[in-house]
Amino acid sequence: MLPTSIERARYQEDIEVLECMRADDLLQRAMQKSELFKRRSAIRVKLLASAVRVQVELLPNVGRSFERLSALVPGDKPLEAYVFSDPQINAFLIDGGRSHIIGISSTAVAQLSAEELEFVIGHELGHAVYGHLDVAAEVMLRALDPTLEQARRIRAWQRASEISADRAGLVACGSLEVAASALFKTVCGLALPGVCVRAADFAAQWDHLATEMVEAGIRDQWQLSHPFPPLRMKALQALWDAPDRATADHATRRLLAFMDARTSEASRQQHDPLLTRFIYWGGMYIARSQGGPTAKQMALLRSFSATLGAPEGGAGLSADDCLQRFRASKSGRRNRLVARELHQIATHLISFAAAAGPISSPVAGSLHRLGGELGLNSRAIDLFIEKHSNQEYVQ
Amino acid sequence: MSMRQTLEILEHVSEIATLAGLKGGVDEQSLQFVMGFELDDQRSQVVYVRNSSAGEKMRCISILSPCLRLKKGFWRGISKDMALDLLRRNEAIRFARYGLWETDKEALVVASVDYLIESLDPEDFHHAAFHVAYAADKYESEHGLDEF
Repeated sequence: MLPTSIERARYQEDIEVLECMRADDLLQRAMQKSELFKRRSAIRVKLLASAVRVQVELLPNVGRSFERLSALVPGDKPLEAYVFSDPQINAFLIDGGRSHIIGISSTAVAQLSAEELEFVIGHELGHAVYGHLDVAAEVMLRALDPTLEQARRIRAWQRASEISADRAGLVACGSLEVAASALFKTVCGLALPGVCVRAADFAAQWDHLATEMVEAGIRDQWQLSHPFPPLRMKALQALWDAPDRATADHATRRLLAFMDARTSEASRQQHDPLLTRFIYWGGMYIARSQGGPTAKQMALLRSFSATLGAPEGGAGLSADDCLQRFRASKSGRRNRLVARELHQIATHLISFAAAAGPISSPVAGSLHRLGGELGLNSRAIDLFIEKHSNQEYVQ
Repeated sequence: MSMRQTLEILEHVSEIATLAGLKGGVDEQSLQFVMGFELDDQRSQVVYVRNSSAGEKMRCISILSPCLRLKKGFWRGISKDMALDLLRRNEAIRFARYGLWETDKEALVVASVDYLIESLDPEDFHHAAFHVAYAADKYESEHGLDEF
């Protein structure tokens, strides 16, 4: 589903994380401070001196696209565009004080078609429409010495804001294939004549990347300001295919979770994509061993099965099949599971077991078996069961 | 580090302890994780885990177990011979060290070891806690005590 306007395309997480940042006193002060930098900005002078200001007379293609698209942007701040010399396909938006300034690299103009350029310009205009320039994220990270949690939040917001901007680009160019082609050329630098980039083909690269991240247990990607291009493509495809924005947002949140280290720490609300298959197949093994899954277990499993593409309810699979898949998850993991990950898996598995009622001896046996596969001793599993029972009692 | 951050670290210690099969709990007043070890000859030893981070970028913990209480004051406290004995022991001991924890009123001889929390796995934690408990108990028993 293509949103009807740039305003309606914004990714919800972009709004929510920004609200969290505004509620943080330190970040709030930093945002106010960055206003000062904006007023003192000399970027317009630099661009007027060393780049070419976009006008229809000088650069007809870019000029017409820019004129058409800037009419879609509400607000009283004028927009200006400049083409600067750069060997890469690149663009940026910056607050130039009295105006918003879009910079487009010469290679972008030379290698992108008019439609692809509209995706790029639309992306930058999206940043302007959504007020992303209010947050000078890089300045905050450099000047603030933020805590790890604050730095993670800033980076998470930056990635969410890029998703919003991509959506604006999609609205601007109106075609998923055009967006795919623009992203493809930006990533590989190739503009081969006659090559048609199919969105689904480019988005499929994400599946390989996701598998690689799961197997390597990679968790340091939270430091990146931009989502991986194949993830961006996948997120655009999710928006295009989804019946409504909420569904697209949900799918996008799952994708971005791969880059967000908070999933394994602060945020327990969302499944950790790097652990999903352990929890799903371990949970299914327990459920199958109990003769289930029960309706309650099924509800827990359902949220994981979509990510894995696993059969609903483990249809046709025995407990042993599920155990084999659990083992395969463990052997497929190239780096060891750290304590936090082990704890998360064990906690989920106990919850699965308890979802069918009090944990009986045979069920405890299944849990011990899974614990053994993870390198946990029986005493550890007994402690988990004991702690879970105590929590149930307190509740 | 703020109290909230210290409690977060202790909560993580609690998770690692559970994974290691060690029972214990966070004492929110003293900001320590506390656990007990049953050793040979019906002896026991209490082991504490404290946040000893140098800042948020180097989050570490100290696992320690007290083994001798010394009163402070004139003609009290640690003697030169005792201090030399601890230095010699430190040269010989593996996976722990002896040292002094001092307050206004008393000094405690403790066995301890430090770890970075992020990379600490349950097995290492179990080993570390056991070695610290064993080292503390050995010193205590050599002084004819089983106070801790």
